[in-house]
This record gives sequence, C-alpha cells and structure tokens, in this order.
Amino acid sequence: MTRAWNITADLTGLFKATAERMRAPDLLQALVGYLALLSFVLMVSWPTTAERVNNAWYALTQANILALSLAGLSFGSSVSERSSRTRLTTLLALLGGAVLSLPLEVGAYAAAFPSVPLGWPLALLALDTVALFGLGMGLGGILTVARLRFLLPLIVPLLLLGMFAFDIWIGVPLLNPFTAVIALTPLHLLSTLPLITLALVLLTRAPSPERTPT
Amino acid sequence: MVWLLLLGISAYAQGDVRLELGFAGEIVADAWNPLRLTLRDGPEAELTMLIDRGNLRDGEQVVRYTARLETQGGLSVFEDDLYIPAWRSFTWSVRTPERVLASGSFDRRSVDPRPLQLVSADRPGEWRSLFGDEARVTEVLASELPERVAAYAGVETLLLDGSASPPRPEAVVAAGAAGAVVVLAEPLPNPFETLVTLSERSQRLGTGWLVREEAEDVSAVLASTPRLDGAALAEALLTPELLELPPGPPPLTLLLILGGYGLLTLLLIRFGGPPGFLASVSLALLVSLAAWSALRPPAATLTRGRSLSLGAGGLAQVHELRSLLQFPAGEVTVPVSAHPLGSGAYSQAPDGVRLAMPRWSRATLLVRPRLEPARLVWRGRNLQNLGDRLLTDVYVLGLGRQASLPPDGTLEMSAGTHNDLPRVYDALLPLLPSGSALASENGRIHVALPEYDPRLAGP
Repeated sequence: MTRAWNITADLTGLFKATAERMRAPDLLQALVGYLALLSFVLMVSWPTTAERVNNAWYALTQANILALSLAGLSFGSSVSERSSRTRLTTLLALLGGAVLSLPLEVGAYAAAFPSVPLGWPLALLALDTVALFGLGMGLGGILTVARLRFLLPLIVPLLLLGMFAFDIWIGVPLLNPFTAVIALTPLHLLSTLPLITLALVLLTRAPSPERTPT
Repeated sequence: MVWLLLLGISAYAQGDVRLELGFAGEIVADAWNPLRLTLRDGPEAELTMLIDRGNLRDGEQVVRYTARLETQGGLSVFEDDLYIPAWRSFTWSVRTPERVLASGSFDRRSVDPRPLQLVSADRPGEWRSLFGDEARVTEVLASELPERVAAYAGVETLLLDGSASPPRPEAVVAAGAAGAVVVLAEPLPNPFETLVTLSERSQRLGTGWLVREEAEDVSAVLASTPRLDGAALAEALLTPELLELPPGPPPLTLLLILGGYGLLTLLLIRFGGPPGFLASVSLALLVSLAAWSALRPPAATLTRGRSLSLGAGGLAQVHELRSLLQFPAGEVTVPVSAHPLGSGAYSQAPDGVRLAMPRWSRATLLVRPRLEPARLVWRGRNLQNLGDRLLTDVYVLGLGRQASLPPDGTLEMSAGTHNDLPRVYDALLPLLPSGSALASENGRIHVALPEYDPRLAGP
C-alpha cells in the first residue's frame, strides 16, 4: 500500500516537474514555434477547393517529425550534463509537445486518408523523439569531454542532414525519419531501437560534477 | 450443313473444350457479348481471358477475365456475358493446375464495334439485301440464342422468317428488351405460334421492338423503327455531382480553429501550471476526436450510384452506373458484373470486378444491363406507378412536369412547366423519344417509353 502510494506520489511529482519544465522559457518558445510551424504547413498544404486532392497530412507529418527530431537532438545535447531529473522532464515535455500536435496530425490524417495506419506516424513521432533525444545526449556528452560543446548548434543540424544523406546513399529509409513516417518502414523502427536503449541508459546516468557546465 | 461447317470455323473447339464468344463468332467491340464454354468430361478448370486494350500512348492495359468452371462429369456448359473493349491483343486459355486444356486468340484485325444484324432463316442470303452494305449481317441458330438481356447489347436487329426452328420466347423477349428490333417475317408456320401470341403487329418491348410484318414490308419496318442508344443513355447518368469529393472545411475556418486551439493551449501551459498542462493535454485529445469525426470520410471507398429503368410493354431494361471515390491507394472489388468507363486495367469475373486505384482517384462502373418488370407504365394516356414507392419529378417529354405519382397510383396527363428538372434529366431528355415519361425514386430514374406504332410515327 505504502509502495503504491509512493509510486503515485513519484508520478505526480514527475508530472508537476514536467509541467513546470514546459513553462520554462526555452521550451515554451520552442512550443510556440512548433505549433506555429505546423499550423503554417497545414494551412499552405490544405486544398483550397473540393476538387483538389488532400495531401496535407504528408506535408504536416514530415514537418512534425522533422521538428521533433531537431528538438530531440537539440534539447538532448543541451541537457546532457544536467541532472537526470531535468533530462527526464525535458524529454517528457518534448513528448507532451508532440501530444499537443495531435489535433493537427489526426485532423490532417483523417481528411487525407492515407494508406498507412494512424498508429504508425503517432508511434514514430514518439519513438524518434526519444531516440534522437538519446542521440543528442550522447552527442552532448562526447562534445563535453572533447570540450567542443560550442559546436553543438552546428553539429546538431549537420547530424540530421547526415542521416538523410546516409539513407539517400544506401537507398533505404533506415535512419531518416522524414521518409519513414509516411510509409510503413520496419527497418527504420529497428534502427531506432539502439538509440532508444541509449536514451534510457543515459537518462539514468548521473552527471559527474566536474563535467557539469557552468 | 454448310452453315454448321461455318459455325465450326467461327467458334473455337479444341478436343473436349469449345469456346463461343459473340454471335456465331462475331464479337462486337466495346459492348457486352455472350460467352459460352462447353467442357466435355473435363476436370475442374479455369477460363482466363487477357484483353490488352492499351495504345501507343498509355502502353499495355490488360483486362483480365477469370471464371471457375465447375464440372460434374459429362457435358458442362458455362455461360456469361462479357464486356469486350476494342483490343490490341486478345488471348484465352482453359487450364487446370496441371495443364492447359485449350487456348486461342482473336485477331486484332477483327475488332469491329458495328452492331450485329442477326438473321435466323434457312436461306439467310435472301435477307442480306435488306441491310446496308456496311451492316454486319450474321446468321444464327435460333435454338442457340441466349436468354440474357446483356448478351444483346451489340445487336440491332433479330430477324426470324419462320423457315428455321423457332427460338425460345425468353430469347426473343431478351433481345427485344435489350433494344434490338425483333422482326417476325410473316407468314409464320405453326411452331412460331407462341411467338406470335407474344406480340401484336408492332409493340415496344423494353427498349426495343417486337414487330410482326409481311415479308415484303420488313424493309420498310427496319428503316422506320426508331432505336434507342442504350449505351449513351447509361453514360448520360454520369453527372458531375456523382464524382464530387466530400467538401472539407475552407482554409479560413481552419485558420481560426488552429489559431484558437494554439492560443488556448499556450495560455493553459503558461499560466495554468500542472492543472493547465493536464487541461491542455485533455483538450488536445478532445479536439483530435472532434477533428477525426468531422474530417474523416465515412469509408475508404465512397460509392454513389444511379440507375435507369427503361421500360415498355411491361418490361424494363435497367442500366446502373456506380461512381467510386477511392481515398487510400488499393484494390477495390465491386461485387457486380460491370466494366469501368474510360481506360485502365481491371479484372473481371462472373460475380465482380476488381480495380487497382491510386489514392484519391475516381472510377465509374457501368453494371451489366438486366431485365426487371417495369414500374412506370403507360395505360392509354395515363401514367401508372406499379411500384410501392412514391415517384417524384414526373416529367413527360412534350407535355412538361407532372404531379408526383404515389404507389399504385395513376396520373392523368396535363400540360406542365419545363423548369427545375433534376440535373440528370438534361442529359437524358435529348436521347429519348417524344412522349417518354420520366420519374425519380431514390437515385433511380424510371422511364416509360411511348408504346406507339413506328410505322405511324415515321423515322
């Protein structure tokens, strides 16, 4: 009974911390930009007449996963040396942001009626966010050790571009979430599993005090 | 004897398998044709026909027809009607899993869309001159005439002079109802008595005519009898509203909804603390559900249909048109014998048609014509509704709009207006003779054709 009570209290605490993290200026600004970006993409891709084919979901979901991937990498690398609680709440806040995009995602999906099941893009949005957050944390840790954290704003987008380029080079949507989200791609799911494992490992790792950035 | 030899050449017989397509081997391109396959003492097999109707611009477009042939020993006969488009190549085979029982092909040069003039007589050559030089006059055995209305889609005339054995009355009725002019050239011997009792001197039957006439006057009857273009009438059912996509919200409405949702969410998160965050997540889920129910089309394939029942003499030929709107890409199976309008590959079977459709695409299917009792009929100068549903938008060509016709009701004619007619009437009216009555009932249009004597009406 006490144990169940403790778990409930922990979860409530985590929820409160996540809500507070979402109110933090960096995440709130990112959320404003994220919702504005998705709304803009949906507006420009929405058919203006009933005669036009509704392809809005394809543009929206690709923009969505691109934004979440970039956010996962950026926030993962930026909080890599913070406390595990901060890392966890940041990740949950990102996933919370993804949940807030659901009406746009579901609405566009419903109207466009693509052949891929709805569960696929929704699962991929969450899984890729976690996977790239883990990759970001790993990247942040490496750059901290190498004392090259100042390169993060350059390396994060380059890493994402590198993933796209790699997939184009091998001709299979393996790493690139941009392509994988619009068609069932089990291979991509396989490639995210190691990164999700990395994320779970790094989330529980305590940062060494001497490496904590000032 | 010579005739039988000729028939042997035009049909395809290999061993114990015999395939007959069209009438006496004459196929009408771009029309439904009768198909008959006879299998003697054979195992269960499958008939496959591959018709490439492509062209240089679009490439290969294969229409595939398959039918399972169930046999129980002895003689097995399989009959169906098959829509045959103009082809580049046309091959067929009858095979079991182990071996090919028979196969063959039809020459590209034999593609001919001209309708057939069928003659059943001992000396058919005597009637040849009645038809024009370009006419496709084909001799048929009356006993082998099919009894299905769709089989006669490519037939313009069926002439019986009583010198050969009589056909079954069902075959004559099917030919007449399908739009052919069935001419019984008198004097007719006793075996034709059943057919004689079928018709008065001249009467409309379905969309065609059943005419009894002295042999020397047959030529005048053939020239003066008006004919309906059944295929054009069926295609006239296709109006733009059948192909319209379901309307979505306009961009301005969408912008307002998105703006409101985004603003409310951000305010809840910024000023609401943990309860505000919980409320924003709940709001997201609620709005998602609302968006789903508002924007999701009711099915992956939207089917809209309209049918046309063209009747006279108590019988009606029913043309049905189905419009498909396919949202996700995929194979669509429609469980009716039909053919799509326009180009493209498809698969056909006795019980359905299968199409591979890209996402957000449309297709229009014309269902195989069928015969039904007429629901809207002329009784002298009155119209009668023989059905059990109200008929609305009653319009008589030449008189104007009439009052609605209740079930089992009769309507006296009066002059009416010509305004506010259903859109589909505009396409149908130019194709119908004066005196035709039209009425609507839930996507079906009933037409009662005037049952006048063509010799009195003139060409």
